Order: sequence, then structure tokens, then C-alpha cells
Amino acid sequence: MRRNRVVITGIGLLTSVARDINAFSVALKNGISGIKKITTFDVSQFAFQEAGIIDNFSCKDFSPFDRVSLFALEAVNQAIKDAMLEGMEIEKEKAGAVIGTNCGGIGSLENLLYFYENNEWDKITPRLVKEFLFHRIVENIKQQYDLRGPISTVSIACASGANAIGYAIDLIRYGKADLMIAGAADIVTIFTFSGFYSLRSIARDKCRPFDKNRSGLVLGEGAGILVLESMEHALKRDARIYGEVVGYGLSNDAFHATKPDRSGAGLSRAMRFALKDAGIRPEDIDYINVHGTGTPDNDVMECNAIKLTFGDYAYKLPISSIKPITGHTLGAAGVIELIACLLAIRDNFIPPTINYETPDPECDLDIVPNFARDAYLNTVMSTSPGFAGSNGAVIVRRF
Amino acid sequence: MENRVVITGLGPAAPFCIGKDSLSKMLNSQDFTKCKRELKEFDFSSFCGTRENANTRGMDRISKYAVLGAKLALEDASILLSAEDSENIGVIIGSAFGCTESSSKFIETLIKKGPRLVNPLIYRNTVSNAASGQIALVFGLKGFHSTINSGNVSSADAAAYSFELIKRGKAEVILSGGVETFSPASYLWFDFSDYFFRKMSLTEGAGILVLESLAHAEIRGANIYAEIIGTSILNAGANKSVDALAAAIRRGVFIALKESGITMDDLDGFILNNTLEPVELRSILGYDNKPAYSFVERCGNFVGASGAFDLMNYILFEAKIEKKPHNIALINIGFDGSIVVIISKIVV
Repeated sequence: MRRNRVVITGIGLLTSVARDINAFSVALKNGISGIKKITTFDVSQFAFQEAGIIDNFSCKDFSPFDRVSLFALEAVNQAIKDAMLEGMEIEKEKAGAVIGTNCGGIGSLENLLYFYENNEWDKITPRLVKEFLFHRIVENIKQQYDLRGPISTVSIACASGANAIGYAIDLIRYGKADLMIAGAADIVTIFTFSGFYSLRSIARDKCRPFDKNRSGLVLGEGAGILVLESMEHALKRDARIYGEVVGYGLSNDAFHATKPDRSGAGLSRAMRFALKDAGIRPEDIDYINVHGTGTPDNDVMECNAIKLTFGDYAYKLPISSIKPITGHTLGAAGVIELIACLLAIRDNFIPPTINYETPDPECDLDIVPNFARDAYLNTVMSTSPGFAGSNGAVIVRRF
Repeated sequence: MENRVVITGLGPAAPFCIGKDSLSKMLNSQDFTKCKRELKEFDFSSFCGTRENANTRGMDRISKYAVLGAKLALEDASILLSAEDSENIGVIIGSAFGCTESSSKFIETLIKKGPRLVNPLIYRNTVSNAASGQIALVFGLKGFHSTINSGNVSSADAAAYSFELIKRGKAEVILSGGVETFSPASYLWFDFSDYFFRKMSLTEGAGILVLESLAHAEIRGANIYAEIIGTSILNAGANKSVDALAAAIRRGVFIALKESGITMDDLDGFILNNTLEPVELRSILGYDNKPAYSFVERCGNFVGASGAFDLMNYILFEAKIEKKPHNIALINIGFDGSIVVIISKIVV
């Protein structure tokens, strides 16, 4: 069975801490956090008022679009430039896009319903109505770049980004596309903030993954986009290659609507599927960029999943969470964290888990506390467990 | 080695039909206007045979439809879950509007009562994978899992993705298809869309298919309705003209035929959703002797669930092509120029 190899030739990203990949690499190395007081909506009724917010962002060319589409388009523009595809003739019939998102155009839905409830019909415009649909982000991208290959939207909560990358690589592997723009985007609004607050998932002070005193997550927003190509297509145009996506896995806990299965069995299954897809052994993984939200249940679950998958090797394997740096960017997290993995491979370091103070015996793995570590990495995994039991894992390798 | 992929279970759940038999009766009745009923709540627990518990009480309507459709599909496929490896059974469900109804309810509270009085039980349903997650949770399905929100082609996209995964050996069985419910926001969406003028009669519901590898189906002696032999997924691009859409449809059919290993001459007919009239398709593909079927008049448009539902409708439709087996192409076209083509060899 012929299967095309898939490589990454362009990266674009927008986060609260950095708006391009080189700045992101610096922030990761130095443990700089983008968490700050929320200014984009009113949080005066909440005790904790911080998130990884992208403020002072505007994009005049696409101003009518929902903010989430603006984020995605900014990241796509960067990725296209980075892949040196601008002005290049590509076969558009073999170029497509898969975008993951948790909330889609939720800002537009909030506005639409506000006007609807208040009978402000003159403010309900066709543009506003169209922007809330999940598929709208990828439609806007398709329209901008005239993509005529496969386009799709996936949404499995925090694992949406991992799903988007996985679906896109399958489309290339099995010949349905030569080039895919794949990634994810999400924004933070009062909808997500109050929702997570109601679930008592928001941290009391800081996001402290794996720390005994961790109290919850800190939200973030952003977009991460990769240009994926068949290796043959990339080599033919002499493209710079960041790495190869060698495997992915998706699974479900089948355990609870919102709570993770603390045994880690569900996430471990996604990791095993990814290893099998990549055709490699657990010992071939050099580093895992974990979801590490900083909630009491998630971090224990992830440590257990890693132990289940890697056995004794789990204790030798460095893992870290960049959530205290970017905030929890929901559906976009899987891609932004995969970008962190690619930068770690490129720049020879392991990003740290910052804000770590007190060890937790239940999270007794090497979490690279507080300071980045020099390392030559070959094969790296990114994990993304999410709401409704969804789990994702993606593996990238140095090319 | 590539696996062959077959359809072995049908799970329709809509206001006018619960299960394959009632859908078949409705489809094959002369007086199908009766199906256009007012949408109403259904008694989920009695249909699903489950007792009310904390989980079912917290489910929103889209999850209930999805779980009911999945139950009906699993029963129709006679899959004994206790005898299966749950890691090999996946769930990929498509929906255009997804969790919009629950998100809207949550936002309504935000507007009327403020952010401190929102309901966490509603918030848990505001992720688009809540419905597919509930299928996994209720039936203990731990394998490959995804939710597709690709507008009108969502369920066809989900079926095409599932086909690829089973074909490449990543899953043995996948519950695939679509589910849709509507809310004021979705009606506003249609109100402001060109498609409203196509006089669509919108229908809620779930259309869930059991897809599995032929080898797996044969081992357990399953009843096979059809074999999926080729798919394509593509888009008309930035050009929104009719000509660009026609070119994309031609390309989509050609790609799916190539994967199927058959030619246009081997194709016996088409299933269309109501974004395309048979006469338009004849002109686009340049044929005049192949039948085209549309079930919108009978069932309404299930939007994101339409592709899977249309495939199911055709399988159950008595007035279909008599030749056995025969090859039929489902052409699902989206709001935005997305196209998914699924070619199936129908054996019933």
C-alpha cells in the first residue's frame, strides 16, 4: 500500500506571548508568559481576571470576519510566506485546508443573539450571521487562497488541532491532496471564560501544571497553522523542511462527559495508535509536549497515560507543558504545542514547565521544571486530551 | 493490504421516523406528505431503553438524536458490543451547526442573568463533539474519534473519512453519519443565506451508518447493504460561479470513479441533495440516460446530516434501480462549494 510521506514546510502562529515563530521560540526558551489581565471583555464579576489574551490586534483587510477567522488568516498568511509559496504556481486542485476549532465564531454568535434578544434587527447583518458557523473559518481561508482541494472543519474540543493535523496528513498520504494548510484557532470571550468558571476549572492564581498546589487552568487564545506537503512535492520545489509528521492517533475515553479518566487509559490509547501509525517504538520518543492544563485531574491523568504507554521509560522521558506561557488555547492548543515541538527540534532545546514550585507525588515524571533544557531531539510527541472524552496525539520527526 | 468497506447498519432517527422500518414505510408510501410534521420532543429514555440518569438528564437534543441513531444502527447491524474489542470501534459524526442550540441557550443566560449565573450542565454541551462523545460514552466505544463540522457536507465528509480509516486498517468498525438540530441562530443563518430561496424544508434528526471492513462483517455473518468503493472531497474554490461549481462536480465524480476502479459507463445513477437539480447534473456530467434520486421532497433537508441520510434513504427506497448489484454516486454539495462524492455498490 503506497503512502506518501508528509513534511512540514511552513509555520504560522499567533499567541498572547508571540506573533511569529522566532519570537515564540525565544519565549519558550526563556519561559516568558503571555498571561495578562483580560481587557477584551468585562470580567469585573470574577475574582481571577487573567488569560492569554491577544490585544491590540487588527486586520483591516478582513475586518468583517469574526475574530477567530482573523487569527486563523493571520497565521495562514505567515505560514504561506514561511513556506515560500507566495506567488508560486501550485496545483490548486490538489491544495486544501483542514481547520480545527473548539468554539468557532463564538463572538459572532454572542453578538447575533444579543441583537436578536434585544430586537435590534438592523444590527443583524448577513456577514454577522454567516460568521458563527464552525466551517466559516476554513471557508474564509479557502476564499482567500482559492483552494480547490479538500476542505474540512473538525471540532473535538481541546483535541481539535491534533485532529486537523491528522486528517490533513491522511489526505496527503493517500493521494487526495499534495499540499494542505492545517491548523486550528480559538478565541476567549465571556462565553468560554464564564463557562470554565462555572465548571470551577479556572485557576485561583496561576497555571501551575504538575504542581501539588495547582488549582486549574488559565485560558488563552490564538492560532497555529502548518503547511503540510507530500515529501515528493516539497523536495520537487526545494522547500525548507521543518520536520515530518509520522503518525497520529485519536481515541475516546468513553468515561465521562467532561471529566478525564484518571487512569489515563483513553489518552494512552491515542498515544499507542500514534506510535503504531508512525511505525516506531515508545523508546523512540525523545520528548512529549503534554496538554498539562494545570487542573488537578488532567495532570494526574496525563502522567498515568504516559506511564501506561511508556512503562519504565516514562521516568526517563522529559515532558513539559507550555500552558503557563500561552494559556490554554482550547482547540488551537494541539497545533500551537506541535509548533513548540518543531521549534524545540529546530533550536535544540526542551521548553520548560514554568510556575512549578511544589512536587506532586502523583506527577512524578521529569517535567523540565522552570528552565529550558538543551537537547538534541529527533522524535517528539504532542498530546491533546479534551472534553467529551476526546484524545489526540501527534508525532513529528526531525527531517 | 487495503480493506474493503461495507455498510451493515442503518440508524435513522427523525421526528417522522425512528428506525429503518418506519423510514422505509414512509419513503415507500404514496402519501409521503404526512412526514412533514411539526418538530417535537421525543421520549428519549423509552426509545433508547435506558433509565434516566445524571448523564441522560444532562444531554441536549442533538446528543439524544445522535445516541438514538447510533443505538438503532448498532441494533440493525446486529453488533454484539460485548463480543467486540471496543478499541476497534470508532465514532465520526458530522453536523453543520453542531452544538449551536446549547451554545445559544448558554448565551441567553449570559445575556439575561449575567456571567455568574450560567449553567455548567449546559456548558458541557457547548462543544461540538458532545454528541459523538455521548455515543462513545453510552456504548463504550473507545476507538478512533472525530467530529466534522463542514457545513452541508458534514456527514458525507465523516463517511468519507471513516471509509479511508477502515480501508487503511485504522479501525474495524466506525459509527459514522450526521446529526442536526436547529435553533433560532440556525434559522437566522438560513434566513440570510441564498439557500433559503431554494425552498428548503429543514429537518432535524440523525442518520447513523455502521461502516465496517468486509472481513469483519463476513466473520460475524453481517447483513451487507452496500460497499463503499470510492470517495472524493474537494471544493469549487474562490470562484463562486455556476461554471466553477460544475467543473468541481465533474472533477469530484472523476476522482471518486478513479478510486472505485470503474468508469462513468459502470455508474448506474446518482443521489443528489437539493442544491442541485437532476437536469443540472445531466448537463454538467453530459449524460441523459442515468436516473438521479433526491429525497428532499419526502424527508426535507437534514443539512449536515443530509449525505448519510440520503444514502440510507436510497438503500431503503423500493423504487430504486432494480439491477443487483449496481453502482450509485452520492453527490453532496455544500453551502460554500464543498463537494463530497461517495460511490457505493448497492447489493440489496
